[in-house]
Amino acid sequence: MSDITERLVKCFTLQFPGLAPEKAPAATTNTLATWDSVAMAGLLVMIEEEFGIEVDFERLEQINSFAGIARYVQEKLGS
Amino acid sequence: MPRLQPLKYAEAVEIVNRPPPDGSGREVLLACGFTPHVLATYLRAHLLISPAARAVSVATGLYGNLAGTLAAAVERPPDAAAVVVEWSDLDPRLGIRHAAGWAPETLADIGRSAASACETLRALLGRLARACPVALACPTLPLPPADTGVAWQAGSLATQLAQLSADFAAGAREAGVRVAAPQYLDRVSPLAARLDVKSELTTGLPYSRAHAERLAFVLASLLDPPPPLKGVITDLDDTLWSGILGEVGVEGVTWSQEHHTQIHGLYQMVLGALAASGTLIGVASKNDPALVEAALRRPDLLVPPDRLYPVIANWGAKSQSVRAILKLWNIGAEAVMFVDDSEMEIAEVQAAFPQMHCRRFPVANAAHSYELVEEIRDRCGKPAVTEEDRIRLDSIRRRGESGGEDAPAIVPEEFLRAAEPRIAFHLAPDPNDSRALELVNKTNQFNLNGRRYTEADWRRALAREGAFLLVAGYRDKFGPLGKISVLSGVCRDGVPRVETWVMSCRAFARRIEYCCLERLFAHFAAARLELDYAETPRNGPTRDFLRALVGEIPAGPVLVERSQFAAACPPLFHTIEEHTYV
Repeated sequence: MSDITERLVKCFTLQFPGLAPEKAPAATTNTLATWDSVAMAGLLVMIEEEFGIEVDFERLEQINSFAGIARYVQEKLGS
Repeated sequence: MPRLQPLKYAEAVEIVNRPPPDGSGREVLLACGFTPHVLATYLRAHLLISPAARAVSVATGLYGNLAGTLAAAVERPPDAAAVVVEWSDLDPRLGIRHAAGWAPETLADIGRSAASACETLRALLGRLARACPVALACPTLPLPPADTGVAWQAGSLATQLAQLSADFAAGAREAGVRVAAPQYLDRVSPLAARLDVKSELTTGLPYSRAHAERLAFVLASLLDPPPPLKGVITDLDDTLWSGILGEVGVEGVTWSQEHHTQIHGLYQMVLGALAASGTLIGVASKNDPALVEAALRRPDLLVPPDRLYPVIANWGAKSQSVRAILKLWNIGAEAVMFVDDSEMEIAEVQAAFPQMHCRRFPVANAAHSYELVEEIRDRCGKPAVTEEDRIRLDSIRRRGESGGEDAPAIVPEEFLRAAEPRIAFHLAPDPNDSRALELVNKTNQFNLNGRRYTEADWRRALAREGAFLLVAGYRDKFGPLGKISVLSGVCRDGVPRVETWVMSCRAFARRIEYCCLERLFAHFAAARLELDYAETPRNGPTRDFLRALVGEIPAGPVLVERSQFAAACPPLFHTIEEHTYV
């Protein structure tokens, strides 16, 4: 598991307390009923804090999966 | 304060996700006109780690409708409310999400509409504060660039709004609302770092994460105020004053601007102010007692010397002096701050009393010394001073000067009679008697079961059918002790059940506990009463009293027959006054 994935899993399991760590990488808005706009706002704050990046909320809102967010974070950290 | 170090958001979420503490939960309303999510999480986390440490849910209202949220809360009050007013709640044109324009001719109208909104909100807050504890933050964000002119010169709208906000805060405070101190917020959350424009425009939350966290911290501290420390034990040389008394003599120690040692004067002034509001101030110094006595007689001392009690000067271990002071004060080390300029003395005292708040007086650094002075004020200060706070020291001093003979386990009959004891009973559920709740929540030794209450729980308990509250005040020829005992419970079918009973340790051995029960029997014309006793790690005196009353160590709630009480009750010499609230 990459460092980004590991840290994102931490963010996801904190934001969604019922989510098992091993299931987090497969999470999408379709599989996780509690992933709504409020949860997304909390997740955004946590990702910004964890990775020290500034997240474009409108862009992140379009992303609907753990994998998509991981790619976004990778991109931000790489840029 | 519950948590001085800021919480990371992930930490706050982790706290919120933990299994809730035992006991009944409470509902706290977060009333604001913006998207509250991050602020709500932080508020809930800070409430969960506050001294109350109870399960808590945070409810919020509708976006952009602060007045509506407050009106609904007035109709159905929560257990407590945290209210955050921002400029855009006073007029949406004072926010940055509107498109109404900032033409100069509209500014007067913005001012009028903000004044009207303040009036409405103040009235609602006043009504809500009568039903539950309310914490309020007045506008914390910088004003938008609506005013004409330049930012560094106060414009007419900015001046008007600043005055309006100050008047609004004063009005709310008068109505019983706990208002966040703007200067304190400025200290912990700098103005320039509060507004997050991106967050406001995209999610509707105008706060930076750091500001949301500090604001939540302040609101939680207002709703669940940390218990103030009860005493400060201070060193003298290079702490209360500058210089070593044994070296420079009585006139050589200084604390003035003239001698460039004003920081010690500031320290003395804060101790003096705290002493006047009931904080105990003691002295533990390695010094010649005669010299210390002479120095404390200097007329330019800024802390009244009679407020320093006891003053222990000797050449023994500092921890021994501290131990003697704690014994005389009859309080635990965790409720005391110890201040000394010597790292070694700090370490020795800290090792002896791990729970004591030990601080070094950083004599060579004025800025750090000033921070310490502020910390002492914050840790010991209290929002309101009661008569009991004012007379506490006199009571302790009398006990100390009499060698403690007014509080032994057994007091001679004649001594008790000659003391001319008087008890004033106040009987009725009066939820506004803050002293009663304070006593209940801080008393450990004579405490029926250790039960603690939040304000909301207390009000709810007293509002029940048949609920009673008996508060006893005591004085004798040696002086008043103030309100020293509280009994509350509920009377059903003629049997009073005492659910909470505490008595200050200052009032031990005066048979006040017997007088309290006698008063209950008489008031309710009861044949028996029930005491909801439960053992706690520290309520041995209560257990001993009940054993004397019923002849055995109680294992749980105790039923006391009137005849049994009459047989066990020693002679009572007290003059009784009864007051009933309407």
